[in-house]
Amino acid sequence: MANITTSSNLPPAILQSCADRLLSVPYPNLIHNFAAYKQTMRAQGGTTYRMTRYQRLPTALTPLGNLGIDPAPILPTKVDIDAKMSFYGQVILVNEQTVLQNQEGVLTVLAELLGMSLRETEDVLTRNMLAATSTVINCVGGANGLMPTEPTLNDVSVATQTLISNNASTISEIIPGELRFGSSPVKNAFFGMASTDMSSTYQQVEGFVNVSQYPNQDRVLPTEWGTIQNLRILISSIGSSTPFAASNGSTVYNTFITGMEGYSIIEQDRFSAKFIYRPAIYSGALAQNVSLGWKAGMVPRITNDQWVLNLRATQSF
Amino acid sequence: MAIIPQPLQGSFISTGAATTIRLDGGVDWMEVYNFTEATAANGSHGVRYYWQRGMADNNGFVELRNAGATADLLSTSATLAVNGFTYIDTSLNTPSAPFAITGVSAANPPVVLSATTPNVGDRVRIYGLNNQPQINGMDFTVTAVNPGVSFTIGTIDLLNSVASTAGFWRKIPYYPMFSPYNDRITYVLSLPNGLTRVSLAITHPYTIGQTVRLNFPGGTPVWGAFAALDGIQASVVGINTNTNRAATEPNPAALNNITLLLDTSALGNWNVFGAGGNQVYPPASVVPFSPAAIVPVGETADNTIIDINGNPLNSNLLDDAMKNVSFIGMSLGAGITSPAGSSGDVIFWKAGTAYYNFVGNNPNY
Repeated sequence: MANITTSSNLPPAILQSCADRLLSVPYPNLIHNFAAYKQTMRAQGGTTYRMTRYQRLPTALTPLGNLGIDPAPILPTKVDIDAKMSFYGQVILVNEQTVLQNQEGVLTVLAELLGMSLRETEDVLTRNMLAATSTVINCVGGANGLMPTEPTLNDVSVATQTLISNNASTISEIIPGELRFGSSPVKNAFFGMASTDMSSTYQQVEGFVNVSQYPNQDRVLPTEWGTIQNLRILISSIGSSTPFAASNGSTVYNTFITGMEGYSIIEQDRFSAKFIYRPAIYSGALAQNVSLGWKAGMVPRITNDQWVLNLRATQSF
Repeated sequence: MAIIPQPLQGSFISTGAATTIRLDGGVDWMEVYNFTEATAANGSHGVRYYWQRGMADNNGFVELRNAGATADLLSTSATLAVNGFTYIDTSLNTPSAPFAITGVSAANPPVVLSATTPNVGDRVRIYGLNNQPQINGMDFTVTAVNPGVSFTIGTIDLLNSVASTAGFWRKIPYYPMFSPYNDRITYVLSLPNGLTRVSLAITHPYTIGQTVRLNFPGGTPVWGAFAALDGIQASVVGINTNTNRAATEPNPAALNNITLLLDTSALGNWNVFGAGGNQVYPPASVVPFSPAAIVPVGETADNTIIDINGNPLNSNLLDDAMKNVSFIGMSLGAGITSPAGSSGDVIFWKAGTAYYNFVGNNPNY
């Protein structure tokens, strides 16, 4: 009987091979800062950034007459809008043996992850600010029996009409129709920031146009899902939701709809995003540990509460 | 140089109530010393307390005198059935488990029957009510508690609605991380001299001098004459943050409200909702609808306006500034064997972060 030599007789000296590439890191769309009005607070400028809005003056519709009498003077008014700067940071300490012995470039990977962490932090801060402070409208036109209901064309129209009536400007321009079968022109639009959990629900809204039907694909945003009338919808897995807030205890999803200059992100000058790497030489007598991290100073703030609203809705199923 | 650990220390005089200590940068361990008890000889009173990451919420070591105050014993908060240390991060606002509601009265104030009860001042979310859907999904601040029996949501008046017999509530641990935040309007009361008092569902963050906007979505079918207030901007000239129901019962308009420089005298009474014209909040028949709400606008930049205390608004205040108020810290329970001690006790504490937190009994690093 022949003897068969197998890997049991001659086991490999090295049992594993490392993949040439690291697997991708799941990373959400960052949609909440896209439409923000970016401002910078100068260094040595105190703790709080003050913005001021003068109120519109009234019209003067009555003729002056011919007596030469001046009308009573009017008093202009203004509102100050303030935002207090906060600072954020994240740090990782790495022992030199990790860097020395790991096959992959640990510090390079961690630097990339920290960059992602910084941008996601900024995005979530803006999301939470919008959830806490914006004007709220419930969807009420749906048929799922909940409060709020699932969104309908009428709910979206009420939301966009509210912004238009408040003199908000749309953010994106018209994408004109082209001679392409199945495509549809896209209106000038406000932007809506929604959760991916609402993607199928929005698809069922009457008049929804998927991005695949836009006549010009060069003008589709990477995070965009589609458009309904004058609303273009961006989606993210970290889109805002409020748990147990529907009438039956299910999740309410918040779609923040904004016009131009509806909200702002104020960054601290010289401090908007700092990546800090400290080699091991700073860590102690034996220089064993590397540190790397980020820090940033920023604050999000609604600058005109009539140009941003939160359209609350539940899923259609 | 050492990067971590980073110890913090401090002291306070106990009020006899639970105390929260802010610990920027996080915390892995904390020690608390009751200086007053250390210099006394009170039997069965706690002297020293210790918590370390990995311990359960509301627990920790307790070093206390024996009954005769002749020696020290070591125990835990859980063993003694008292409140201990609770780590908190207010940026993580995860609702509690659901608790069953067995009744909500159609009254002023509404009393919620539940075998599990929150504390006065807690924020609760109510949903699934079978007969009062108009408040389903809304948050309220608890204004009174009968432990193990019921609690009161005194910031709304549900007189002449139909009492519920089933539903759920959850505790929302913290208020929003960005402040000033929006709040739901539950009552509007016209006052003399062109003023209006607006009552709000959860403890409001507003201060005198701020500018706010009223939102009444849905028009007159939902809000009647008060739909005229939709989109109106007004200055805050007075505030009341009282949520102690016992002090003001039975008037929800006296609780948790703001006074606005706004004349609503032409709008009539608020409490005329429903087919009978006698409800104090939109009735079940208008569900679904959008609750009326108030949102922050900014700071009133006009020093000619006088507040209800007779002082001019100071436009140089920064009270309206949007700020992130979340923090990491430790909540200390109060009592004779709890770290926050009893009223008047002098408490010293120190806390810090650890260089490394081993998990398991055979660390291999």
